[in-house]
Amino acid sequence: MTEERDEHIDMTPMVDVVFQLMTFMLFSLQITGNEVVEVPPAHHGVGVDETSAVIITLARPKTAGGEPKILLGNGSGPELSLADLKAAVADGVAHSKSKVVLQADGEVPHGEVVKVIAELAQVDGATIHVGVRAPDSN
Amino acid sequence: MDFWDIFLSDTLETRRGLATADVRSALAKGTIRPDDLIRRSGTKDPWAAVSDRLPPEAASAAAPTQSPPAPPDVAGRAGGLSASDRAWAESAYDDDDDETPAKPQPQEASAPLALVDDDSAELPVAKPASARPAPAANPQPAASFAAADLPIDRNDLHPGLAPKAPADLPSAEVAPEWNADPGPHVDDLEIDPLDEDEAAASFTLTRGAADKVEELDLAAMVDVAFQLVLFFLVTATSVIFKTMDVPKPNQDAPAPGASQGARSMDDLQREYILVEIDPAGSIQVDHEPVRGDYASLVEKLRQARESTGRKTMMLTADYQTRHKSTVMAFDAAQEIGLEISFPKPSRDGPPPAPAPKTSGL
Repeated sequence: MTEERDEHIDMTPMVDVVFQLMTFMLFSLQITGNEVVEVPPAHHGVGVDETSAVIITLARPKTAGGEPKILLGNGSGPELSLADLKAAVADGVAHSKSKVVLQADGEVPHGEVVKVIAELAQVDGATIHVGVRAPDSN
Repeated sequence: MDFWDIFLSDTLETRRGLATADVRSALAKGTIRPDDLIRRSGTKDPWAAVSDRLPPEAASAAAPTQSPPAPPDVAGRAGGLSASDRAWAESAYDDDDDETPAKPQPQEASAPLALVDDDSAELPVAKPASARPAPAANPQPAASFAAADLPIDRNDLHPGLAPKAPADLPSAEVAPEWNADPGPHVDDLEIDPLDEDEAAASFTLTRGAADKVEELDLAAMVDVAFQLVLFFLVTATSVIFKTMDVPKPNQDAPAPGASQGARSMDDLQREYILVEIDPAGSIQVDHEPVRGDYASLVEKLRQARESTGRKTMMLTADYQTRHKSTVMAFDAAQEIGLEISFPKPSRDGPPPAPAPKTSGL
């Protein structure tokens, strides 16, 4: 008589555990962009999908009150002038990326931010969004 | 008196020490199936199918009109089959094809052979239409059933029938034991040792497992599931930025204060809740200082709205005000549902009184 029965591993519990892990991972994903600048916290924010937005980074100025670097992309793109940025946003709108996410560091002067916003707002069809992060507490 | 060990293939039990008569009666009742395994008690004989191993009962025990093809009487001899048994066995093997049996025997076994040969031959007696015919001691070749058109699944018929042709059986591996002790009948020249071995070799242990339900191999399914999961993880997950909608700022270039003087601060204050933030981060709502934290600002804005009914916040910030202060003010306004308006501050000097435009959300 063979002992075949003892060798069969029941896969059902293993699959269940895998599904548990997967569910946990799914729910533990945070809805925050991977910030390379320290964007200010805000309670109210809406999620904007990366694939439908042009990301512009305003990095912290080297000196207080200095000029911030304006980068196209999330902290890793080329530094462009405002005119080039505007062209890039216009290009994005043409490719159905009508949102602009402004990842501005919290220390960037407000005037600089508004300057960029004002410039980009001239592009038809573009909506400006200021990138924020979840508040630490409260 | 012979005693037998029976291995039941459905419950996987072994019953030991059953007498031949007991075995036959159990067979007749259906407790023992013809494909259960049997061997002599106390021996290490290989297990063989009951229907093939059990000595045949007397022909008169069954219905007399049945032509009893003698089941192969292997039990009595460690060696081969008698000529009639072999003929019967071969006729059973011929079951699956419609050819005539290779060796028609002019012996008492000829009657069943004739039945195999001819589908229209009359049946001795109507066989029970169950999948487990009780009189397994008198097995009929299944071809005779076809003539009666019984709704029986051929594969379920076990009375002494091997479902395969002799050539398909794994003969060589099991044969050695038979070869070692051929028994007294090996001298019969009509017996082909190879056939005997094959017949004996067909009774392997695995026959008992034939009725087990096949287990589904889940490994492949799990692999596919993982593939799907990975695919959806990669394609569905994308970076989501948490953002705050901001309105477009006042587009008009700041003009000298004189020409904008038409709207004084009082006018503005009638229409908007004025929030001013200086580079240090201190906040004034309607020219009244407020603690620079979120909760206080929200409370103050709420009070301002309720007392005067203004629905829009005018955020005036110095050029060097830090971005996070203005974001906090935006956040506070959104908390209580105020619309937001903000001018474009000038780098040089204090911002002039802006031409207010409701550019709320």
